Amino acid sequence: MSDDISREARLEQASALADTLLQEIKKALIGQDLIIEQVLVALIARGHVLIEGVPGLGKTLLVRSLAKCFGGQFSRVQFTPDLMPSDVTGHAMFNMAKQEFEIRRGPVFTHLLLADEINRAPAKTQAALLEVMQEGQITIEGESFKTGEPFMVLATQNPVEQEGTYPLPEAELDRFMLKVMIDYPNETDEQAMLRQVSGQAQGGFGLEHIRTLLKPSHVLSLQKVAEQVTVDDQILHYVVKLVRTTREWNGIARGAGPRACIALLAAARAYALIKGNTFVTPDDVKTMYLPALRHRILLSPELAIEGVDADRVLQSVMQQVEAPRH
Amino acid sequence: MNLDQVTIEIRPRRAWEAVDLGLLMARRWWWPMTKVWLLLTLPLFLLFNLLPQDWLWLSTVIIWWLKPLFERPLLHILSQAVFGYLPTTRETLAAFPAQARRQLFLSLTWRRLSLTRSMDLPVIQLEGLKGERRKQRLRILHREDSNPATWLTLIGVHVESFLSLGLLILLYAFVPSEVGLDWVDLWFSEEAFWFTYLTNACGYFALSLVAPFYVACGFSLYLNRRIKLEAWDIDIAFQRIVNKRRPQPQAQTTAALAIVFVCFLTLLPVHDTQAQDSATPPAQTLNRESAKVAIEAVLAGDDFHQKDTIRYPTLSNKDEKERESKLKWLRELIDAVAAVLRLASWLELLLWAGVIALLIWVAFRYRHWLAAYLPQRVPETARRARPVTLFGLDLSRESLPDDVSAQAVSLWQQGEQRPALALLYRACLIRLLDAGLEIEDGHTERECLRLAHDYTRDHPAATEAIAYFDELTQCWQRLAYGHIPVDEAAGLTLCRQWNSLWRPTATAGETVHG
Repeated sequence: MSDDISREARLEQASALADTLLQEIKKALIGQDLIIEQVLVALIARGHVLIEGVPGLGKTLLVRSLAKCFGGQFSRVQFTPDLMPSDVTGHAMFNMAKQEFEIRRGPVFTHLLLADEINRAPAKTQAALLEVMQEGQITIEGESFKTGEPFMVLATQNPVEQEGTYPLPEAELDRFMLKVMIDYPNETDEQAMLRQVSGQAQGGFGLEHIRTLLKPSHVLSLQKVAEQVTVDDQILHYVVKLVRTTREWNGIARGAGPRACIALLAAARAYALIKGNTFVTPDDVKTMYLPALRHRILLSPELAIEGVDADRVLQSVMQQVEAPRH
Repeated sequence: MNLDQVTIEIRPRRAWEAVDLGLLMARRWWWPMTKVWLLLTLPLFLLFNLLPQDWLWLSTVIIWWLKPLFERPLLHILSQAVFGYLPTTRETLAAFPAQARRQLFLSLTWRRLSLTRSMDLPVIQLEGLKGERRKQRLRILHREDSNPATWLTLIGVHVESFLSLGLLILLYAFVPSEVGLDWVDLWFSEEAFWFTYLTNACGYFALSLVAPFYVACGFSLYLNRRIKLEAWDIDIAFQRIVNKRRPQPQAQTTAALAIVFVCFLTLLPVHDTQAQDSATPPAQTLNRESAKVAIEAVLAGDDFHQKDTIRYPTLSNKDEKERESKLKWLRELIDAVAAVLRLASWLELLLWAGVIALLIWVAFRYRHWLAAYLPQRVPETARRARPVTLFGLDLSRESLPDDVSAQAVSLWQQGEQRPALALLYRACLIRLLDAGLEIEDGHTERECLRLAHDYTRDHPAATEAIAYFDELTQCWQRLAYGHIPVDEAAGLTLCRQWNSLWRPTATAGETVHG
């Protein structure tokens, strides 16, 4: 009983912390509450995020604010067609003075990595992220190095300019826990944002006003607490059913794999924590279903040609799959 | 007609080779022909463009319809140029009125759409034939090599269309995208009369470009046919032989004799003349008698006495029975074909049935996919029938106990919290469905609650019942998904309140009940 109480207390504390984090980032990034929430979900669920949206919506600001909030390191890599894998991960270099090889660590050794316009780099450079995203480590010259902890990749891609881009391979896409679609803020929010930016002395974005609320180790604790959020068997069944249905659904040529189940459940847990719940409900699963699955399914050519997007198909899957009740 | 002055090589050609020659002729005399064409048609075209706006489109149509008329001066130029004299523009124009009058009405009415017009024109204009003689002549001319003349007309029409359309598209391609020209609207808009001028100009340009080639190709086909029919090539060959053998000073005096000689010898086959080439006595030693003897000898020879046997199948007038017995196999064949056709019609019926069945199957198989295209219509057109089971729960009214509260309290007191709350929750759902809420399989508890709250907007009397449902949902979720026990007193209250708020006989329950 006392264990339960302490667990509940921990969960409440964690959820209050997550909420504070959310409110703090909202100060800098105005009008993108949903995006901030989903990025936080991914951070707490030890996932990575692929953000799709036109330039100028505050993607970099979001990452910098988040990094500042928990006092973490932040690196940004602009992906270009000539970017080499070693430019991201690091490489071994011969030091003439010492007459030995030394490892130059790449920008990936950080807490938050912003891979800007990831689809502009060819597949081999994109693949350099595979290991670090899955294992949280980099192998250079046969030696493995741990990245910072917590570690999260936030990759962005632009949906408009498709010329000269390399679509992300399925294996890479599957490693992103969530794909977040970032859109323009509404009129009121945009006015508020403009007022705030024009009020800044150097025309900055008010990053200096963001407080450092916790340490990277606290984020790790948050991640651990999130894993303690209760998941009933019915929820597990529901998650599996939702993912498996995509494999048999007409209009989906290739459904989501088992990694989608894991990602969906972890995201639902983190979301429940942010919302102050100590257990996962079907609503939490449903909320995270679209961001967790939209990049993992391949629509059939008929639907793709008709211009139907993955979200619409997934919505109909959610409508058809029975929600748990008992 | 002076064959020795002809400017083209006279030899029998294949029909399409002749068309090729026509193209060469048109290229060689293109400008004189085009000049005359423009002088005659351009003023007329410009004049027609003064027509009222509604009739503007007529200008190109009229020029097109009058083409047989304007093709005559072109033929005049060609027919003389081929024989070594290129008439001046003035001469051509002077000759035009007389040429234009010849069989004008017929040419512009029912002969206008003749597909062999290009090949037939020389018969009217150069040979001056009409009526039955024209018909006979055309019959002879058309016996061979008239197919290309038909094709020539068809190709010409297409080239004209493509050229005019291509020109329009070319001009359109030069219009900057900022102008925002609506291509479709131009064709149908009454305001864009300048576009009618443009289409007219393009049409006229295409007609002017094609006309010389069309006339020249037709004339070339005509010439080729005459070369074959009248053996002009042999005629010319003989003339050359005569000219070679004739002593130069006597050229003038023996000219008439040479022509007579040629006239007689044109009857001889080519290889004979070649064989006799070296043996032919000089022209001066010939006289009528010896020529006659020679001709008779040739006529009596094998070349004129070859017999070819050609067999045609004809129906004989033999006995009817014999014929019938002979035709028996044919009858049987016809019967067999009829049987096959009957079978084929049945097969066709079967195939159609198969196709319809396949369509129904496809529609059924991909009903979800099809439904994705009609997301709004389905709920609007037909109100969904009340579901009996949802989320695997039995939601029929009969499945509920008579006294839900009593049953729930009893379960609760036995320590069966979960079944007690499940019963209350299920009972609420049944009442909500009765009230007409469209709850679907995929709806979660929160979504059901949202629907219930929406319901209270139109039915304020149900507010208390829905508040109860809200509390029940929270308790149910905490218990079911969070495994958090519900407070004893609160649970019992929920169990006891159900009857007063949700039972159909109760006032609030009636409101929810609908």
